[in-house]
Amino acid sequence: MSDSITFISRAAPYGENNSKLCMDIALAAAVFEQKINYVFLDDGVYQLLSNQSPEAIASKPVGAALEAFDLYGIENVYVDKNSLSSRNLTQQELVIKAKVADSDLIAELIQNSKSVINL
Amino acid sequence: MTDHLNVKSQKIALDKEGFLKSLQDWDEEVASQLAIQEGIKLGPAHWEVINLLREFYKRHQLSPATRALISLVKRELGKEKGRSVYLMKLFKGSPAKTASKIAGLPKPDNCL
Amino acid sequence: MSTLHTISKSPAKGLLSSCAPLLKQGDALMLLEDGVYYSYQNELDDLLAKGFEVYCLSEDLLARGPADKNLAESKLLDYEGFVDLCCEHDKLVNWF
Repeated sequence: MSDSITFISRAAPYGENNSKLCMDIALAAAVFEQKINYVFLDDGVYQLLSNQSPEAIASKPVGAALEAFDLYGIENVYVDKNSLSSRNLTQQELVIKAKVADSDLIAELIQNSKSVINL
Repeated sequence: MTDHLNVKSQKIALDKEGFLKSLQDWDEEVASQLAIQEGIKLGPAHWEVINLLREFYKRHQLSPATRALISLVKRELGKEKGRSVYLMKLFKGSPAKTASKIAGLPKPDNCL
Repeated sequence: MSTLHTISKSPAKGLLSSCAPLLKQGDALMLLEDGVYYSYQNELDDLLAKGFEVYCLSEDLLARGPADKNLAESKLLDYEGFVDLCCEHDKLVNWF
């Protein structure tokens, strides 16, 4: 088993705080140089839409923060294929380059991780 | 640590760790005063990091933690400067925390 | 290298359809809190047919009143049994 941590982010960005929580835990783990996989599943893929302008609802743009992942050394970023297609989204519309992954690949990430944070 | 700065006869409110309470209060004079509180006299080397941090915050709405700050400086200002020893010499203590404070950013969330 | 998945929200949340495709052979599913309502439904049939073990926390099920029909063949465990089950797997993935 590898010593990586897999994060599964399943919440849309602004209606609840889970997307921010998940990201904060991952950034903190990254500061401690943990190997991280970050997976966007279900409504979590909405975090990746470009041109979010949440200033009017007094929130910080989640997509813009995700663009800083590479500075934290979080490079293994995946987005679930079915979650994209069932929401009529394509990879081109996303704010960061996430690898499109099918269920089998995500299942393997989970299997090969030390622990899994699912928010 | 005092709870405010006096800059050009204005009272600028600070939190208990010396970060600006209102980020809109920041200007270059405020930055110089914040630096003096930390025992730092700002020079061109400080300013390039401060400006970089402010641009980063504007774009990503994040105060970078030390590791991210180092990567950012390395990417934008080159390998020689993107090292913790360089940043620690410029900004005493924890460079991410001190530099964010002087640049008028919130305290880095992931600064542990 | 097996994983125990738990679901603790009502079937109306659709968590099973997110979780089920990510199960690997040897993984198991435990139903907790409002997740026990899955045991009233036939949504679990697919998983059971594929040979996955599905468990249900008896305290949570009894609290809600067990359905007298359509109860899927999920196995009832009390808290102690749940703890044992956790120890049998390498890690937990919670769906809530």
